Amino acid sequence: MIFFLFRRLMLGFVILFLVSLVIFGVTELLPGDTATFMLGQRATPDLVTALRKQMGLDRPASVRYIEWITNILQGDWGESLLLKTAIWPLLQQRFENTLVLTFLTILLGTPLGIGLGLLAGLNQGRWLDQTIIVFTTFIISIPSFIIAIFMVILFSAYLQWLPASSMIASDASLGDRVSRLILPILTLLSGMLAHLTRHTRSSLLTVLQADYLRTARGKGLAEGLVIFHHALPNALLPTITVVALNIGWLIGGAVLVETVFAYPGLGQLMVQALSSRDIPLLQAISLLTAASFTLANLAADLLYIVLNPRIRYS
Amino acid sequence: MAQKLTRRQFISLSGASLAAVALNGCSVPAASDQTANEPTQTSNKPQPGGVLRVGFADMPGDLNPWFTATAVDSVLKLAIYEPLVRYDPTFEIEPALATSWETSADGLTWTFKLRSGVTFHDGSTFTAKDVVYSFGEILKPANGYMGSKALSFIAKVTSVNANTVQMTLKQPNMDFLILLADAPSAAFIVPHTKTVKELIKRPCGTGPFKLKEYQPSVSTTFVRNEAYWDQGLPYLDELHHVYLPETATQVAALMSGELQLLWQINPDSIAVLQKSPQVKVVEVPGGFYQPLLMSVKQKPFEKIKVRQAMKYLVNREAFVKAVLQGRGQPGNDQPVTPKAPFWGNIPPYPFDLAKAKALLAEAGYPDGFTTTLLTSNARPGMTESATVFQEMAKQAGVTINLKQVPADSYWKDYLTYPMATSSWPIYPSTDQIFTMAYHSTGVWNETGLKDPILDGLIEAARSETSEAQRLKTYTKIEQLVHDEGAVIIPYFRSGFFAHQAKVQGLVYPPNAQMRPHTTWIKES
Repeated sequence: MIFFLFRRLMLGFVILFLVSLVIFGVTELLPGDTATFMLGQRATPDLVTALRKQMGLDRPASVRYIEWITNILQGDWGESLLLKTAIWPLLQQRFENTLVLTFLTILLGTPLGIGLGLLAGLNQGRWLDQTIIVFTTFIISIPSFIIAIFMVILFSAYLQWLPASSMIASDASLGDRVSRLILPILTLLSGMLAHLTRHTRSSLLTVLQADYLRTARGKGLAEGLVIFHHALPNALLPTITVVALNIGWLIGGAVLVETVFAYPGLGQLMVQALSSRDIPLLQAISLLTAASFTLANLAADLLYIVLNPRIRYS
Repeated sequence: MAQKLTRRQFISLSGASLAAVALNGCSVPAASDQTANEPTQTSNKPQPGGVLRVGFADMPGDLNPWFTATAVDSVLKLAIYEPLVRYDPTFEIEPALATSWETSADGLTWTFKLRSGVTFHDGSTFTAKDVVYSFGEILKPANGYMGSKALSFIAKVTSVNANTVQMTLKQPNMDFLILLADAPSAAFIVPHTKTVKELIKRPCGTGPFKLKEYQPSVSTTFVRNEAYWDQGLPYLDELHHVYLPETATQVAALMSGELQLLWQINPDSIAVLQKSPQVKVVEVPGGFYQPLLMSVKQKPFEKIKVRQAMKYLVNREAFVKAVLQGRGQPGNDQPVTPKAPFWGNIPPYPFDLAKAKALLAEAGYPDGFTTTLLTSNARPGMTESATVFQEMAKQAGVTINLKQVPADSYWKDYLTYPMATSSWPIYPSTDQIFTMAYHSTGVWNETGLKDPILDGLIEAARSETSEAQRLKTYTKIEQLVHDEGAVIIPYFRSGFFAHQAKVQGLVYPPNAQMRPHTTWIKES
């Protein structure tokens, strides 16, 4: 068990290293750098040269990468090229915001998705099942940013119930914070719900046909006991993985939703970092996202072991 | 009237005759001409207090006071920092940190009297030392600031005493004060005790607002500078800049009252916004133009006749209709807009297919030619403009292949193509736009055109002291660029702003560089 953990963590580090290498390589290949971005249309060769020199962009890519990785191994996240401020405090604040969004979505979405999935599975073939399946398929078929825009138009512009943007002042009241979170969470839920519902449903259906359930029923157990005591624990196992994947997706992939609502999270910062070719900032965000993804998966695997005694890793 | 006086003072100080002032009235749009600016309601006394939330589609970069590459950067920095002088929406010079100035007979030495009793946001007193320090940083080429280009003709800045500074110029420049005031030059004054690094962390200026919090790519919050030198100003307690790239969110936020002002809206949103009774949409004409560039370094645009033929192919009214939905004016292939100083009002080339074909035949292209036009949605309207032109050129057998590239890499090498789209704001300094973008040594000479006659005229207009003579020379320059230049400017675009009706005292310069100090909120 300890060895398994150790190996997985080591593997995680290798993944993070590869991620950093790929991100760095890809941004190097993109046309333009922070200097040309900052000057934009008004760039002149000497202004570009002066800025590159200030930011150290005149040195070869390999030198910059090695410098960056040496610093990061010593816990120094460096400075953003565009913003000229330390990356870590910025990242910390944005990461917190993203985590709030992620966990609220998971917290609401998991019981809801599992509940709907169970309802559908237990009513297989009946109208409730059909409705749930059609509804969730419909929702997941619409790209999340369209849902986001639709909700903004409906709830903010016309009904005026909720704020359109999610920019949260640092001194905002709790009520204000909550009202600004509703629309982004609803949008994110729409993406996650369909997955979880269908997964739970199909895994429940598989379990329901298993021999041991027939045995349970055969020995005269009440149907409720059969479902909740025997079927559910097994049916829910695969959903752990789905939830873990969703955590990773929410932390790194909520880019569109964060952009539409101007939610001060990691994804939204990532967009700016990418368009301004702010490599140190982009690297830092990617590392954090990749690390969260890896950790969430590891946690899911561990949970799996705890819940399913049949699986033993050596 | 105070504005007129300022210009009069300025002109008489620089040795111009009074006759020039009278004529000057024709060249500069009068204040009453600014239909976009709301009439000041005298019955409406500004109420102090309140919070104004402004939505922007773009995001600023760092908080370096002297770095203003985009208009969003400028608007942010104009809330915190001030230059020595500033201009009103008609580009008349007003005193700011300098209260008066005089120039030597040769126009090379300028002496500025500084305002006394001004304090920076950290409480320190503003003196000549701060001016000398700030200009030292701005003009240092290694810093890479735009100001080192715009103000490169300043040779030396020295302090005479605590309240007087002297600037020596390399050559006379009649637009000196305009360039000092212009936000893209970013000639902002900071305390001499602060390094750039410190200022990026904690901005410190003399402006009407102090920075409270900057959340990159999300929002900027400012609070009222209680110690602002202009008594009673600003009216607002707090000012928030909110960065919302998504148009639907912006529009919803304004309609629901979450934001009170949208800075530069997409014309597509106008119809929706006008339906809301609490929202007012404001059109500010003459603010931008989007040239179609023809590179004179590439065939067939080295030939004047080909360039002229292309201009005859442009149906300008159709452009205004198709690209601007009717909200703009036809352009005349030169960069001085009707709202800029020294607008010469030269009639544009009419649409004339026969003439275009004849000119192409004379140039050796009777059957037209094929070329490539690079475009991008880096600025709204460029792609539309390119597409419309592609259609118009077809009539004369000119095949234009459109090449579209992503916005974030567009400006990197757009000038390597035979044709490209560009986008410019109005320039308050007519000298600057011609020197930088049309002079053969201009750093933004996008078409590569080199014309010694044009160069000579631009240089002459720069140091010409008579306003009337300047207008004449600039009209000549505009005519020359219109006739032989390599830019097609099919339209002058309006800028659009939308605000909640309760927001008062907004002032709209055509270049969108709004200052928030007179804005207030009318609570009914």
